[in-house]
Amino acid sequence: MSAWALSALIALPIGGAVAVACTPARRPGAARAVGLAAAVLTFVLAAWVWTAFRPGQSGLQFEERAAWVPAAGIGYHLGVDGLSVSLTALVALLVPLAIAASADQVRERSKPFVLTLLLLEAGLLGTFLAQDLVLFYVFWEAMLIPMYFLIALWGGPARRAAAIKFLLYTMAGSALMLLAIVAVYLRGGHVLGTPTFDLPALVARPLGWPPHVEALLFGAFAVAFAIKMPVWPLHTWLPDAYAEAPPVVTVLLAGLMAKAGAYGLLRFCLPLFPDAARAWGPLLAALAVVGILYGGAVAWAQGDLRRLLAYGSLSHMGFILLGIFALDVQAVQGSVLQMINHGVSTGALFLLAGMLIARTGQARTDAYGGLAAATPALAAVTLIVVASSLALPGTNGFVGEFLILLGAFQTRPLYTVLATGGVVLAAAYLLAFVGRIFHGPLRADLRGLPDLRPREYAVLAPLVAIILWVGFVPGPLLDRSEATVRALLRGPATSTEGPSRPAQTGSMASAARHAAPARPSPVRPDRGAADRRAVGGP
Amino acid sequence: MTWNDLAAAAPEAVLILTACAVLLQDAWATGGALEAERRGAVTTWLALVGVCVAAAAAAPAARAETAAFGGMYVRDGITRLADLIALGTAGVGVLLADGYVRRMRLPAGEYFALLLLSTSGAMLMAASRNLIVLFLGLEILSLPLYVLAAIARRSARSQEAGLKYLLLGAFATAFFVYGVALVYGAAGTLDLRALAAVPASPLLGGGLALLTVGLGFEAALVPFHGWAPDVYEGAPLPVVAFMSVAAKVGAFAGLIRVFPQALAHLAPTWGPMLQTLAIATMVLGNLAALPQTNVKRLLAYSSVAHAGYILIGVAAGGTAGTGAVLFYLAVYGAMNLGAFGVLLLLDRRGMEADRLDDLSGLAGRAPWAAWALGVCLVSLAGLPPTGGFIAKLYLFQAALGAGHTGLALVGVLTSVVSVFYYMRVVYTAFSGDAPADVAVHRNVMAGAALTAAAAGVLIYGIIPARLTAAVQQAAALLK
Repeated sequence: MSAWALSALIALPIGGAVAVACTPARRPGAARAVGLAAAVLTFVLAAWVWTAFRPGQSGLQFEERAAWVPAAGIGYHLGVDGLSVSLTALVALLVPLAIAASADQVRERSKPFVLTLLLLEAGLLGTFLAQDLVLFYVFWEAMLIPMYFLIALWGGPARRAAAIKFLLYTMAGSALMLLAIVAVYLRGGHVLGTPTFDLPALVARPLGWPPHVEALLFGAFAVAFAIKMPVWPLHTWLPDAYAEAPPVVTVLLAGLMAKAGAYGLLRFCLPLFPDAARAWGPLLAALAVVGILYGGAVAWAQGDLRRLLAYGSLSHMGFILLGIFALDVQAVQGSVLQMINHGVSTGALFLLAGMLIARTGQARTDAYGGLAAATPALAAVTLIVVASSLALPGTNGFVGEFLILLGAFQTRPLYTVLATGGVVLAAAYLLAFVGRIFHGPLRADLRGLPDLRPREYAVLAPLVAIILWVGFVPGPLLDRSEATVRALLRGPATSTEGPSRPAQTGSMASAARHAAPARPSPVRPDRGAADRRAVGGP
Repeated sequence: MTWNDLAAAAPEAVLILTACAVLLQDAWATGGALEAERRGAVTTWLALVGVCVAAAAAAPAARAETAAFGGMYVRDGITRLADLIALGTAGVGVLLADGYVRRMRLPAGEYFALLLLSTSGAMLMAASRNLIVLFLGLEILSLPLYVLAAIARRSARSQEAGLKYLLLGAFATAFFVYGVALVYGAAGTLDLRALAAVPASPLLGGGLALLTVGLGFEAALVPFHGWAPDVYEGAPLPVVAFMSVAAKVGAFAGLIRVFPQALAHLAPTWGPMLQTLAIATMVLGNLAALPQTNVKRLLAYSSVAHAGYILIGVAAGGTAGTGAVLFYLAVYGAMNLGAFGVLLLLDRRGMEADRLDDLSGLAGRAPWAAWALGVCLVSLAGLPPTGGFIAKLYLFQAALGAGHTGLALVGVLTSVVSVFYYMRVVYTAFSGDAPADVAVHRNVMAGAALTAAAAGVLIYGIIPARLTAAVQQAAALLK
């Protein structure tokens, strides 16, 4: 089964979309049920992959290789490692929840809605699983079209402008990345002898770039990923898209698509361009700090609850970016964990926002007040999720942010001190958010609002469970990513363990690995022992 | 001329004979009436059979090249692929036109005969190894197109389009002939193989520039694109669908024959010229398409822009560039025919429904047509998982491989711009309510053509291995 599990993961949502297309148009409930079934099946498979994943190995597992366009050096190469295994499971978890939640929130044209959602899921899963540059780019771009339609057709009043802004912004970044991919391919052809888009083969030995070329290509990749995350100052599409998209779609935008950007930085920028990553790391870390503080401050001032959460999400993504470019094992471990945490907590926050908006039709925070009296369960769940977002101990957010700050403090102390200001800001805007909506006297027009329904309990329960579980037992997640993160920061010369073995270019690439000189590693080499002690849980 | 020569040129010969048969059959069937009510579809089937037989004649892969007519005509990998693309275009063009010709009471015999003749011209250009044959091909390609553009007798727009096309086209052809004369003056030969040994000279440079004007007109390169929006807007839709592809197949086959193949040694001379043209074409085509609200004009500028992309491959030259051009032409044929094909299913009170608003709500009443349109436009925008993406990938790969970073950069950035106007059309088709005065004509043949086009676009995008291998093989024979 493990020989085709990953292909099945991508194929299941596509098959589900086809099945949804075949349901009768008169019965939207059938479309949603079929879509939900496909998404749940996908989740079961993803959960199996997650449990069967062997921690402690840095290489790819569940690898699949097939010739795709051999004449052009493009291969069909899938695999999971520590960076992607939990993200894959997160995708498979959030999509069925979004479909289930959409039953109350998206009533018009629900059949094409579910269909598009499933296509988006296939794109997201492919993005996290692809190990070939072109295959990755195909999935990366293929996500955009479904997301464009989800915003443009089911969004709020200004949806068209928001959707096209999102599309053009992300396209512009990706377009340069495409050229950079081709440049890497051509260079790889010179250095390796065989032109290939295969990522493991390309990172197996240094490509020997001239520094300015490496910086340009690093920039092209980084900008594409930074737009997707987004990183300040490339975030200007975010508030419109997050606020105009239907809340269940924002769950996926903030919870999953943003992670694709952060994942791309780890998967491509660091191993392909280690020198440039080290050279430009301080700049990106500085941008991260600006984003943390800016996002937090602007979120505090928002009167629209989706915009508040959007800027809050921007601020939290800053921590992940800071952790990545701290180039420290602990910090990167924290970032990988925080990607999952942010997906869960931001996903839950937008789901809750969607439930509130579905009840009242109001998105402004001043339309609410004292709701805890009318909907105590909703208020309680929100408080737990906010606690996770605030990184209170006992929740998953604490583990992630603590690791990031701990690790980053050792390489970038100044930035880390500044970033802690963001933690304070988060407390300010999130508690203000909870206070304005749930506390105080209950507004007369909100009397009699229904509390959580069984379906909503079912949607929120898994997320709350994960928040608490990871808060107390972060080991399983951290163990899965540790070996890969270590190998990533150490460089490829010593990371020959693991089952990764290029098939078409096998003899060449493995010979290259043995022959390759020790590659400059983006992390200071003298800190291995300290990392080993600290990583693995606070 | 020997039998061997004729056997080598069998694909063209079959098309020309079929064109005659179609013309006669229609004349007998209608008794010469101008706007006869057509009952059967014999004419259409006859044309289709001709296309299929020609394709069967063109399809066998050539191990080595076959020359005929004293070395003026050559069949090699490039000829074969260009022929198959042109014949595919003709086949889909015939299928798309059937319902429209019936609806608008166009003369079917003339329509299909001209279409087949024009196709044979594009194929002749791809098979030329002599500038005179290239010129003959160019004329055989374009003369029927002038007539086709004006074939709707009762439509003033169509008449105007035909006249404009003819006048400007005649100019361009004159430039071409003058270019041929200058090249002859400089080189003393018109044989493209012999040109490979000719040193650079101002006279040769002038000749090449004029040749480029003639071919650039046919391909709608900026600044020779002025006719395209008006002719595309005025000519009947099935004609535009066919013309937008067939003319480009011929023109780019000609450009490949002349520049990367015959004059590879002079690349430093013509390279910058083609690069400049490509950049101007991509930038202007895409910017001009942005504000269009008439879908035919929008697609006209889009096809100008795509000519610019394809020229990237010609400018890059070599195996990679030539292969990328052939791949792009195949994908371009499918996606452009598909996009125009959906438009010609619609009509607004007996007129062509070519305003953007006419498309709104299409997904509600004709979901398959809307999906086909969506797939083709997403492919035109160059987004995966469609053939348009893979085709652009190869072009940019060729450009970067040849060191033309600027060209590739302009290519990707203008592609991003193009997303805006293509997605506007897709959005319109998938949202809103259908206007009451726009009708959708369902038609089995057009449905088959659209299915083929959309499937082609997806197949080239998802499993492009075979076509990639085929174009690389064809381009590798270049040397």
